[in-house]
Amino acid sequence: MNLRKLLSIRAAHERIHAEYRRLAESVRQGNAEVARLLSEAGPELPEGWQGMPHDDLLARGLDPSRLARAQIVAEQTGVLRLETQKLAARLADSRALVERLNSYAQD
Amino acid sequence: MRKIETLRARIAALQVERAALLRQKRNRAQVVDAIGDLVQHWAAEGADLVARELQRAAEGGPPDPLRIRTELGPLFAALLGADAVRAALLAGIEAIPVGLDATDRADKLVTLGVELDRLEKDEERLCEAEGIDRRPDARPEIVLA
Repeated sequence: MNLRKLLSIRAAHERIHAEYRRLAESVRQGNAEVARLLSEAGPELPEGWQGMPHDDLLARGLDPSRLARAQIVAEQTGVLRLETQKLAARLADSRALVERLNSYAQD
Repeated sequence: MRKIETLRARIAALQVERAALLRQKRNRAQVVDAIGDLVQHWAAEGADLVARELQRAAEGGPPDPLRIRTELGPLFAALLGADAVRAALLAGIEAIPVGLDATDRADKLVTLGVELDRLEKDEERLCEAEGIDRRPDARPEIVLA
């Protein structure tokens, strides 16, 4: 049995796991940032605020710059969320493989 | 298609073929023979049972030959005839793959195993050389060889 290869595959799995944790944390931070910006943008967001003109937002006592920033962060977080989901699938495959290899190595 | 995808498609196809071979322990002809033997056995058993019931009736017992305490097979064979029962049971036989006889099946399993080993070793070499993620169900004895 090639022990060095087993260790290398385990290390690769750990790298995927670390990357997954990093991305998941970025998504969590992105969501928190969006929530913070929206809460700071005004007391109550009307439905369809995303499409409202700048002046309408101001007239309702809302902060258009925070809202715009929230939208940008939400889009970036959406991209990260997709990457996280793809990585989660890779991580699950990698975990399944490592478990099979570990079990084989123990036998 | 990338080389790894071609390899994996071939591996998956061979795995399906091998699983089907492992599942089908009797080929179609052997199934027909097995059913034929069973119905023959039922027919003999059913004939004995009916004969005993008739004898019992002759000896003053209740004339009730259908009061046979047995499986349905012998009863059907006795009442409908072995040929009819066999034909009814084998009506769907076309759905069973023709299959191979025991020797050919064993040979084919060996051939498939050798081919799978070769392809999976190629796959492992490719994963190693190009940094491709391995399949979660990759065989440890190939990966760690």
